[in-house]
Amino acid sequence: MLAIFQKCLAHPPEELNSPHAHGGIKKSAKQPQEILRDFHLYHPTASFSASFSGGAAIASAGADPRCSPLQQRLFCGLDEVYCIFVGRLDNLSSLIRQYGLCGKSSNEAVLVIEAYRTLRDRGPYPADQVVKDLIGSFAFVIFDNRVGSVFAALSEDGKIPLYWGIAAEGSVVISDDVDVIKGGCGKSFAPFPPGCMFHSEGGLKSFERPMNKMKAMPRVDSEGAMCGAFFKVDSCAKISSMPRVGSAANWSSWEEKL
Amino acid sequence: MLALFEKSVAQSPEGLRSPAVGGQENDVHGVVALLQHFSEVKERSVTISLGSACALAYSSVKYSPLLPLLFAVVDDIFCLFEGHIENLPHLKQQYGLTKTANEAIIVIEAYRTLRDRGPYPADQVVRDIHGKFAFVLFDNTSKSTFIAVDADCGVPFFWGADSEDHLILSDDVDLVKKACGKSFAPFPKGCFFTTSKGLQSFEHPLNELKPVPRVDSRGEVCGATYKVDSETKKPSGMPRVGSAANWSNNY
Repeated sequence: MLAIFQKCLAHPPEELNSPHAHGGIKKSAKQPQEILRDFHLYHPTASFSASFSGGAAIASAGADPRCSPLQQRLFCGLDEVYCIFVGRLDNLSSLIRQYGLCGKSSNEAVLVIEAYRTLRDRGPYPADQVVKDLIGSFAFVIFDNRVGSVFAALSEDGKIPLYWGIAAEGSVVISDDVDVIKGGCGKSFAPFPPGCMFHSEGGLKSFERPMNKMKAMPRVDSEGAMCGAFFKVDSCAKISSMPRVGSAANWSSWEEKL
Repeated sequence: MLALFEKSVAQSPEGLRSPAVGGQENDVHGVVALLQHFSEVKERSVTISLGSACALAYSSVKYSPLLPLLFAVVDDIFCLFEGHIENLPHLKQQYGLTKTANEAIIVIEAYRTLRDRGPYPADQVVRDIHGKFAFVLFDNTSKSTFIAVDADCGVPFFWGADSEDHLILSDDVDLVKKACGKSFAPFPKGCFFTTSKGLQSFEHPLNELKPVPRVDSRGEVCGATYKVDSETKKPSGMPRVGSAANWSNNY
């Protein structure tokens, strides 16, 4: 699984970028086209890639008959929303009922697209609630071609390995294959923080503790060089929501404050 | 929209290839060059390449809302649909789909039913779809394709064979001309094309199709139109045998 988004589409956090390696071999970041080409070389059979003119590319190695249902890779494209899903959802049937889909032709990728579409169009629940409702070990990346936004999340148990990094020209690369990321991003990569979701507009947020901000902690790899950053929930810093004011306050300026 | 299939996936029928007359200067050769040309010419284009077997590309702008272009991927089945289905609610009910299903999803479901259970023959399934449409479907698991247009060919749809024997389909005649030179033709109406059985007519499924070479405005042979040959009939599915015969040999 591989997803590449250019800088204009997805704004990755700055701390992922580690361009200068102190000592050791300096690995340079690759261009998105080269990363895609390497991915195809790595998975020659049953792999496909979709490239969008807005500056995004998605590639998947296709259904592997050897892999168990716990680690399946699904790709789905409906109504200009594309989703790669890895893993499984335990409460799939109750979610299918909740979103009003028909059971026999809905797999996890179709459901996640429907959940994203409901969130985008009607927004009955906040995003962290929607992702918290998905029970299982999973990782998914959604690309919305109509709006041009990216939505990625990883379940809190972190059983599915997911990595993200920054390639040449600031494009974000998300993949479950660490070799692809290492080859493409040099030192500017890190494991995707479990229990978190990333949206191109909203940035990185934890869906377990949505009211707390995320803090980047620099990580050093085995060669002793700076290599991206771990993101952890900062239990002290909270995202400001409703300001505490007296009863005489004027609430009409609340919109601008947010 | 644009679809490219390799020879192993889609064998172009005889008669579509015309002897090379000498290409134009702005001819596009090769899969990669054609896809690149498509991305340059169309705005907001999406290109999907599935290994060497197949490549699809589309751009949703510049389509009338009455005959929209839809793309869907479910369960490793890719479908590009252009047009409009009139009996949409009836088909949704028949295939057991929800209210959010659009035309491309219905075609994918119809193909999946045909592939897995086969309750009706393929020509019956296509005949059941009423409307003005053209669709291209590619099944990545079995690497097979299913292409069809409606009985009156309400949507402009062309196909051709390029120099490397790839089958190229598009609704944009300039694109097909650039890729195939003279080896192209409008897709015959009332017909459908599959990997296993090639080109068949769904209006007259038991009759063979005959290629009729067509001549373009310059007087050169340019592909072929396919007409139903009312004389020749395909050998019927049921062989005439005595009562002691074993029918399981026919499967």
